[in-house]
Amino acid sequence: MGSRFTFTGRLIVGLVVILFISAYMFSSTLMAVTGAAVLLYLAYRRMEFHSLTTRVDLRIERTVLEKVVHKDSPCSIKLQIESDESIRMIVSDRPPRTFIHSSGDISITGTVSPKKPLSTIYSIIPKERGYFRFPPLGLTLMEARGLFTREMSLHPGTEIFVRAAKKDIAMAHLMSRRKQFEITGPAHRRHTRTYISDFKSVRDYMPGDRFRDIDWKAVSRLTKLMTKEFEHETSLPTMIMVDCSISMREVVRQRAKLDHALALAMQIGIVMHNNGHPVGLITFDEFKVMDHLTPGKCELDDIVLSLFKLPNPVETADYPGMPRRYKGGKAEGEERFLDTVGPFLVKGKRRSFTRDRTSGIFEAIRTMELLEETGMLLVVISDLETNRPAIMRSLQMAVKRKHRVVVVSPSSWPYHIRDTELSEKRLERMYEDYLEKQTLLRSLRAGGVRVIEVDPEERGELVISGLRRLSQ
Amino acid sequence: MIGYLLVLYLALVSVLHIDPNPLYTLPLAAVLIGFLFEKKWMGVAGWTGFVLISFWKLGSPNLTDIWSVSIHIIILVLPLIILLEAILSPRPYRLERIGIWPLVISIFLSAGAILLLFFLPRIQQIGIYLDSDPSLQIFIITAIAILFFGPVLLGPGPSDPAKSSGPGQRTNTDKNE
Repeated sequence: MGSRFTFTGRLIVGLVVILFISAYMFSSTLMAVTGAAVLLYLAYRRMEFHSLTTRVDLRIERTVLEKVVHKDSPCSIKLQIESDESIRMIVSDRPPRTFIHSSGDISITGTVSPKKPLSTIYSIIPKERGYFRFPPLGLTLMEARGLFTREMSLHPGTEIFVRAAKKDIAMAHLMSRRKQFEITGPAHRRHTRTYISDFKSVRDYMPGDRFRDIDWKAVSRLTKLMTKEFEHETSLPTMIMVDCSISMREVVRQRAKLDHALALAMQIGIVMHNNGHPVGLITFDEFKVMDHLTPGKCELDDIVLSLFKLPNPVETADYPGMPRRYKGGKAEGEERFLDTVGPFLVKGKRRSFTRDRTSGIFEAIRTMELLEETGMLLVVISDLETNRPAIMRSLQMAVKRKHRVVVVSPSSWPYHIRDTELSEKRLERMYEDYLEKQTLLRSLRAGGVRVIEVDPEERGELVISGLRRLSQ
Repeated sequence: MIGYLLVLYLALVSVLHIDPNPLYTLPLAAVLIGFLFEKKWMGVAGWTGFVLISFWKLGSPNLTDIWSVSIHIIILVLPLIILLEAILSPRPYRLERIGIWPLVISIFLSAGAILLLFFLPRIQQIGIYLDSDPSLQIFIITAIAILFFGPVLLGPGPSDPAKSSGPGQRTNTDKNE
């Protein structure tokens, strides 16, 4: 973009025009000569300005002052511009779209010189979690005499990583204190660690009871064999599986299902960890496993950090609902194309016969099968909208491997639709989605999977209660 | 401030040379007030008044008379340009690093324009008689000014640093971890 005339520049040009017109009107060559001289002056100033803007070396430094940035918490940005030559400019910074300017000057005007950089500190509030890249910095260079301006944009390339809201983490810690969580009863694991804790009752001896459990005092009193019963506490490794596919990341209003899933996963993780159960994490998208942390071999911080690094939500224009391709007929060649391309998307490029096996959830279950032991508690947080046949197949496989599977499933429409925006057509579509999902949930329940449906207001109590009932 | 006073003194001498009436120094007073209170618009307004009075009192030079034109340029046009520069320049005035090429191009452009102005109309074979018609002289001055300086003012200029690599690209700084 070239330079533009400022108001003063236009005023001078107007004066030149008046001089030329007056020269004609009054037959004065002196006016015309003066007009030509002023025009020469303007031309020189413009060339000088272009020369300056071409040779000037601007150094932009945009620094996020906080080491850790949380959603809904203000963070400070320091912007500093240095130059090897003196130049006047207007600097307008633009934070990413999901940030709100909180305080401080986001736009500054001043002269930058080699000894005197131009700087400002302002604060912004992130409204979404994830990685964000700042858009280019808008600069308006001003000619020293105020005759011309030139707009340009620079790319300091600043990235900011916004973690989940502090209140989500605080809520998780609160839940872990409030909700006592324990797994009792038989476990299918070979290496389940069982701790005998409190005395429960005394009952009649049954063949097979351990010799050390016989209550000898009761035997002497009642003259028959009695066995002491104890509360058994079992440490059950838990694997939290978070679906990060596109349907989870879609956001129409303020919140994506993935953000809710993140908060729930964090709460489940902290509650389980604080109650002595080793916790692991698998995150997966449509095609592959994104992150895998084995229970007992990772710290809680690793899990929380991995959750923080989940991909950004994707904004969509309207109620997205379930992908249509699962409903109607497939386009010609679509199936063949996906079957051909799918295997190459799978980690390791292993041979895959069906498209179900090239899905992220199948990869996740397969990874567990290869690397983990059986009899774990799997908490799958998914809206069950992407790769539905693969979900059925994978979870059935997990049940066969003696895992206890709990599906925490948010429904799409409460996240995307306001009650004032409902129309007949949209309601029909929502109802179709609901029926389809209920069919899938019935199939899952019939297959031995426990399903907990959650809405956007769910803060973790329902899920933790559901997990508690799992053992009773 | 001393620099501005010198410029004003130059302009004052110029205007007194044209007509020793103290009333004509009023526009210069406006320029002085513009200097003192840093009001650019007042300076430009005073400058315009100064220009108009000068034109009113000073007769037009004859283009065919080089000495006449030179004297007019020295006593009026140059002080006008210096005064305009002084009005528009930011305070405090600093000597800038002058780019070589803009200066060279400006000198060549003005030299070319002057040469064309003086020699082209002298070719009487094409029927242009400058002495006979001042409107023709004004037309030639206007045409040459627009022809020489118009493209510089309205052209796109040199390549845009923003769309090429740009200075900002070299200084990528990201300290958020």
